[in-house]
Amino acid sequence: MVIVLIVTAISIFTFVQVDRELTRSRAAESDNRTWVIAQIEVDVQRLYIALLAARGDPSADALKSLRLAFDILYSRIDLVSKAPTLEDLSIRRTPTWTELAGPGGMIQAFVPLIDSDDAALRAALPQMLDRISTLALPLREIVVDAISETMVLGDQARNQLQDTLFAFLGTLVVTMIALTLLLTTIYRQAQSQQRHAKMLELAVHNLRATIESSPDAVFIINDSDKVIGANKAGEAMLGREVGPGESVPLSTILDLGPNGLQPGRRRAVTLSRHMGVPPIPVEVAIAEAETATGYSFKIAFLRDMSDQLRREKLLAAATEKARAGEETKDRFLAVMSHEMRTPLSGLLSASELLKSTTDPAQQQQLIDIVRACGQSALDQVNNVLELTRLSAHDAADYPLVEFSIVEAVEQQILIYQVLAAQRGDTIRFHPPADRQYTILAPLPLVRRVLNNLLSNAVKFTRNGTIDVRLATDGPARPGPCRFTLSVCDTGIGIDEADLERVFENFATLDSPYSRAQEGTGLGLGIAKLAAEAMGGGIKVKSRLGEGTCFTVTFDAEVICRPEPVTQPVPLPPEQHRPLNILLAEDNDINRMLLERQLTGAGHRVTAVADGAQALAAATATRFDIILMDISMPVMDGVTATAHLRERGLMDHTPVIALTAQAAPNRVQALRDLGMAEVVIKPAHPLQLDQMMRQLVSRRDVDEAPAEASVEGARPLIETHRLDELIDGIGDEMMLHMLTRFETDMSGALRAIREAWGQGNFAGVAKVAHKAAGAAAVLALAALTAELLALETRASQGIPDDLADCLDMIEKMSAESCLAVRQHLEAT
Amino acid sequence: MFRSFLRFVAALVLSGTMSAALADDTILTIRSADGVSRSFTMDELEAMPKVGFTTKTVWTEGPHHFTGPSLKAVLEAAGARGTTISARALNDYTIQIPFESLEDGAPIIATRIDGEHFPRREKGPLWIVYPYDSARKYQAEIIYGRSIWQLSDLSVD
Repeated sequence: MVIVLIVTAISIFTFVQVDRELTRSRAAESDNRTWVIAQIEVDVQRLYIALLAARGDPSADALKSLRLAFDILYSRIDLVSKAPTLEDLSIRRTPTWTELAGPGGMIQAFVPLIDSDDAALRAALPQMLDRISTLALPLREIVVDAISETMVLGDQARNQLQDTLFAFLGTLVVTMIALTLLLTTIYRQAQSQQRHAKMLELAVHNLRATIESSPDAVFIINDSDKVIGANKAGEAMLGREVGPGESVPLSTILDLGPNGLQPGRRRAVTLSRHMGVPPIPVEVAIAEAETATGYSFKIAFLRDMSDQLRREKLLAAATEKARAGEETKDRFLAVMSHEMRTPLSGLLSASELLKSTTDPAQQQQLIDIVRACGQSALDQVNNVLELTRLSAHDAADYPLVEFSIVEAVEQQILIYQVLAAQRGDTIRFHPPADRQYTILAPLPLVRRVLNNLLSNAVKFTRNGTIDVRLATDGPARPGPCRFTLSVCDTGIGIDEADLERVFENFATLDSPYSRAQEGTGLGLGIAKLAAEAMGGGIKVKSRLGEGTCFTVTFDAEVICRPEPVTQPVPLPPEQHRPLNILLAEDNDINRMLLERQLTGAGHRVTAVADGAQALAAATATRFDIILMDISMPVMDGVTATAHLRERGLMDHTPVIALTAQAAPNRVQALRDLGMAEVVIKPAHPLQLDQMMRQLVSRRDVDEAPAEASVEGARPLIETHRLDELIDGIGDEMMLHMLTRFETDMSGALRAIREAWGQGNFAGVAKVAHKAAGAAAVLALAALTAELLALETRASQGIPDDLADCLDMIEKMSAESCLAVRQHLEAT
Repeated sequence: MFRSFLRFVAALVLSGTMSAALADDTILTIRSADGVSRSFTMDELEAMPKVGFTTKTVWTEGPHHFTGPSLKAVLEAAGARGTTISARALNDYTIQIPFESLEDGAPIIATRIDGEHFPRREKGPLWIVYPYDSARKYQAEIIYGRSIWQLSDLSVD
């Protein structure tokens, strides 16, 4: 800046100089000094000439010209003497000049002479000529000097001007440079300022972006504790926009207590939001700040803690669950070890004793014990496995199966008949009015529930009754239906205080009778889980000493309800009907045992060790049942079955799969293959027997539709089956059995009449049941049906027309036997 | 000292006498383009409308008041019209003046300086003078050149 001022000053000064120089040069030029000085000599010469002319010519005209010449010279000299522009010339200071123009000089001397009259003038001519000629040469000298002086001065002036001009140009250039520098500086400053501004802008932008993108809420709070600004997260958290015009008083959204919040500290509080929106837990920290202008404000950082709190809660819950699981596991291990060891030790000691016992009765006893212990141990294992599976999976893992619920219940009851009979208990089943409910439900779960409830009922009842009731919630139609199954016994009962604990796993009630009973206490727990898995529940009612009633409710989809059939499907009889069985089992011991069991039950068994052999045997001979183990060498059960199906050998022969793998999806897979049934090893012999008989009888029914009579009533004899029977046992045996039956039948009728007289309806039902079984063996279809019907009605109360019914049965019995005899003679 | 004073007075008187004697004589001859000449006396010149101005000149000291008819008016009076005026002095110095450069107020043919006639010895009796001080354009070399003193003839072509 200072430099610029200096340079400008110099420029102005120089300019002024130049101007002056120029003016001066013009002035110097304009007076034409050279001309004027040169003219001096010219005019002097002219005067000289005029003088000469006048001396030679004395006329008046010559004198006139002389005077004129003198005046011209005079005025010239006058000019030169006075002109200020000739000041700097040295000519006027020369002695010659003084001689010419000074006081006493030539001009002065001539004046009076010129001004006198003509005569005087004429006379003075010679002296005038003298004087002027002496002056001529010196005059020339000074004139020449003056001219060269002029030239020199002119040059000097020009040089000076040039210098000045250069100086001016120089300063101009310097000024230009200075200006350029200044401009550059300004430009650079502007640039840097721009850069700075841009950086600032970028920083601000970045900062704003940072704040805006922060997942935590950032609130700006002014000194009146009003929230005047918030980032995006903050507005989202509050659920509203915030701005200087729409400020939110801090106290309305956060309750920081009387002391507020110290800067730098965090506090967990609740953020209240606008109407209708629930408050959320947040963690808040407050910082104090000041703007550049000294205005103080606060910044609040809020973090939504909902997720964190939820996670903490989940974690706590999971920890609690794990802890509970640990506890349960510990209890389980404690109980299990006892409950498993008891039967197994009993089994082992019994087997030991067997070695040293020779008494057949004692031997039998010990064998029974071994069986019981083994079964008990198996039950424990099954229960535990079931519980594990039920706890780990949900109902979705159990594939739904179409089955008759009534039949399933009856099957389970049958299994426990023997045990019940041993303890003097009677199991009665009260099915719904419509017996045929085909439902889609997880069959294993239903079986499990029934099994466990029945087991408990039988276990805790001695010489009592167990009533199994099945009821539905609505009239007949396909669709979802709620079933209520109750198992009520007249056993020892459960104390009211213990009722709650009953469903806890591994809780065995500490009562005087419970010691005699064994059980891991899992049964009811499993039953509960199973019921719940089916979308239902289980309830218990009990009174000590009087009995207990368990009620299970569950939902299942009813597929179809066929017309109530007047003739129920006959139950398989207790007596053995010999079947032709193909057994495929690779394990030698298992095969041998099973073969012996089946043969002992009266069946004919062909045993093979692998699937290939099974296939060969099945191709050669037609069997009633094929029992197919799944895991076998050479060819496994699955492959063999597939081949059987391909060859159409499964059309008349149901295949029962024997497998140790109990997973429900595995079971379903086997069913999908076409297995009629899947039995989990070890196979319960009675269960297996029932199953086989049922399958075979169903097949018979399917295959013998022609046997059904026109009116819908059953034929007296089922020829097909009778033939099979005769083939099996021979004519002689047949006749013998027939005679036996006739005797038994009359005995039964007598017993019924007696029971009726005593009002013992249960007895009526019992006898009828037994009789029905016997009739069924001999393929006396109609009679069987009638006897079964009688049994059902008797179990619900004595029918009014019992007498007529009995008469009818007596007559039918005779007819049926006759028909058999006739048939025998015919073939 | 006294002698120079006397001489000065004498010169003055004489010049004054001379100029008085010459007042009735022709002091200016104007020849127009058609070849016609006209002559003017001092009185005749002074009878024309006067123009006067005060100015400094490069030949004199200090400002002086010059009066006289404008050259333009004189030429008009002489009926001389043309493109170039040739002005000739008593010592035969000649200068060209373009006719169209003539203005009503400049130049003038000065007949009096400070109200007095001026003799031959003082660049008289007639001097073409411009008002140098009044405008920069009159301070040019060329104007100085036209400022012819001891004017005797004007010739228009």
